[in-house]
Amino acid sequence: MEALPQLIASAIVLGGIYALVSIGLTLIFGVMRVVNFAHGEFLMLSMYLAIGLFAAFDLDPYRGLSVAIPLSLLFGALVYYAVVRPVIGRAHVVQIFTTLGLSIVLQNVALLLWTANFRQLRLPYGDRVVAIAGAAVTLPQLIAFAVAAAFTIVLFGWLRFTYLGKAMRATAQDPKAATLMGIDTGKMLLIAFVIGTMCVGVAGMLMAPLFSTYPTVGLQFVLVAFVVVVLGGLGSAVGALLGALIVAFLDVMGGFYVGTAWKEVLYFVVFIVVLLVRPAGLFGQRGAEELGV
Amino acid sequence: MRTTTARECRLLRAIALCVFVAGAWTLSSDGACQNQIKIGVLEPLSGPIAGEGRRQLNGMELARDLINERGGIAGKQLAWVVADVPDATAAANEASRLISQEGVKLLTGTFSSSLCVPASEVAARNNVVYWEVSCVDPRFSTRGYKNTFRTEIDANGFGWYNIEFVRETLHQKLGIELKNLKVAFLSEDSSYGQGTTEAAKKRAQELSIPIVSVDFYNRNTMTDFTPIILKLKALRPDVIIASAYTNDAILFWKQAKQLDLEVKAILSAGAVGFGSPDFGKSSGKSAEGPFALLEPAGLNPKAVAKDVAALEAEIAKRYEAKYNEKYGGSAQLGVAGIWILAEVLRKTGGDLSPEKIRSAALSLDIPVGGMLNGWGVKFREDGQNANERVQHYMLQWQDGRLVTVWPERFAVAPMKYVPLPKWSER
Repeated sequence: MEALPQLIASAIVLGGIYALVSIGLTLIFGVMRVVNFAHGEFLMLSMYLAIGLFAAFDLDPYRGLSVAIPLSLLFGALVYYAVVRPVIGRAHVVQIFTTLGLSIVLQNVALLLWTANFRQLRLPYGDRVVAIAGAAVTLPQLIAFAVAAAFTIVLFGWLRFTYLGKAMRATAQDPKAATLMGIDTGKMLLIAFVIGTMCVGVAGMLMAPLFSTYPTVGLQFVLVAFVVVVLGGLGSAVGALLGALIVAFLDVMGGFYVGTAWKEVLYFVVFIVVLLVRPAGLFGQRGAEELGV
Repeated sequence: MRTTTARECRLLRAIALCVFVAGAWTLSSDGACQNQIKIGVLEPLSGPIAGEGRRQLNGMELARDLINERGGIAGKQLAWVVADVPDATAAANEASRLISQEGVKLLTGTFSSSLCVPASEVAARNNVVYWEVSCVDPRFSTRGYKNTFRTEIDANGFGWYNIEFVRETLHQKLGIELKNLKVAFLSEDSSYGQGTTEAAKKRAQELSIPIVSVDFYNRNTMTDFTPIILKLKALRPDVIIASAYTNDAILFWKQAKQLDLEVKAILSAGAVGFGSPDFGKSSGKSAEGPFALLEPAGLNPKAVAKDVAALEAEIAKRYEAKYNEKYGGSAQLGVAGIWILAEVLRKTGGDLSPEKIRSAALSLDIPVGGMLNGWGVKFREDGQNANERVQHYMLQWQDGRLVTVWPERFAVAPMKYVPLPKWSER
């Protein structure tokens, strides 16, 4: 019982980290139906950006967001026009191989540019521990969770209440009907991809002080992100946050009470059960999972 | 009878010329090859362990250049055909390609236990010699292959040495009797981690050292050590024996600090994890104190043969000048592995036939201290360089670098931070 407050706190912050990576993916995967295997590599590039900004300009990742956000928007647009747009509407296998190819290219570019060494962004206050109700959380963990929660709320509000958000949901639900209703679905896809990339750009900046950065770091998080996105429901920001928290709780609690070696078994069992009961995921639009797939 | 037209004549001449040129080219390239001993090198140069693979290849290249500068082997120069093997499938495929398409008769590599087993299987199937310089999977040498050799210790040796260090010196420094010294094992779940941990556990049980926990995890998906650390906090081990790769070691130690896990000592084995230069760079001051069992970081010159000491110094100097990083771990394994291979090839006169290499390798008998890294050489029948000849050393992070602190006769610095100070006092 003594360990419980810490377990809960750790699960919440880990959930925040998983959510950060997943929110961008839920937009890309949910709206565009493109399985972006390069999502993890976008995360990796952003982590290197955080390290570079800190080393070159003494800019911590939080102030560095002012550079990372416009850069990731730009990068997202570039990747969309160069790689993603040509394969939209093509067979899924074509899309998968295209993004997988992009992922391999980015990994190897990182390998050439920055070598395979493990790097750690060490902020002067990176190890500062904040004690909350008997649990110890570091400042960068707390900030990462806060930003994940804020992003979820903003994205949820945007998708729910703005015209653009509604148009995007309509595109996710049925692209053909959306086109008939006068929605420029091409533009929606671009916006979904660019915002999704920006989200993962922010995630990378916030995760650089927490984890080692190396060319294949994305692989460590991208599988969990796919689980989270499908569990939470495609295209749902709240679903992504809750899905991330569920996976993180199973990770941490399962690791403590059952054994670390079992944690993946636990969350994949829950994943399968949820999909059997609710194929659209916890918060997914019913029927949306079948469209365009 | 049909006569040959002028046009056909020109065609025939052209063909004849092509045949002549091709023949000359083949002869000349054969001639060049005759002055070379071509060796296939498999290393992970991309993927999660590329950093150590690159270091190992750097070491192997340095050894090759030194051997070639000193006249090569029987007048021939060593030449590499390098292939990147980020995973087990690539290891098997590339081994196969180097043998069938590049005509390589001897393969070496591969840094990782997950790569050496599939690569060596391909070599064995093709009756090609496989010369491993670093993987530690104990199964590697138990498959009955005649032409598979390993210069590095196996995981059984890693585990044995870890406990030997605890038995011979650490428990005394901590002032705790062996039967009261609580040990926890923490291990990633590949054959490196499992092999090392199982061997150490067995030895600890023989010595009646109490084992309070054994935890395995998947290093590729490990994003949070909180559950393990909280468990360890409750069990209060005196010593943690870890088998970790590098990103997981960095994360574990970072979270141990965050969650205030107090232990008196932590040790690991191998050139990854706590023994990797990246651990020191990434952890800063927190890195001070952990032990890592690996190749020496500085050797007492009195403990090794004179020429070996001089050679070690020269290699370290050249490595650091060329690659701009400290000579250590993975690179040392690469250099020593190739150096021993060169000793064998000198005996065969550069002949790569499996029978000759086997009899030359088995005939080598160099005592501890007579080879680079302070090693000795005596291959067993199963191709493993006997663990007791592959001398290993306990290194400790002190002032931002690893130094040799045990065994005493090889040590270059005394042990510090025993027991490790509390996190609040560091």
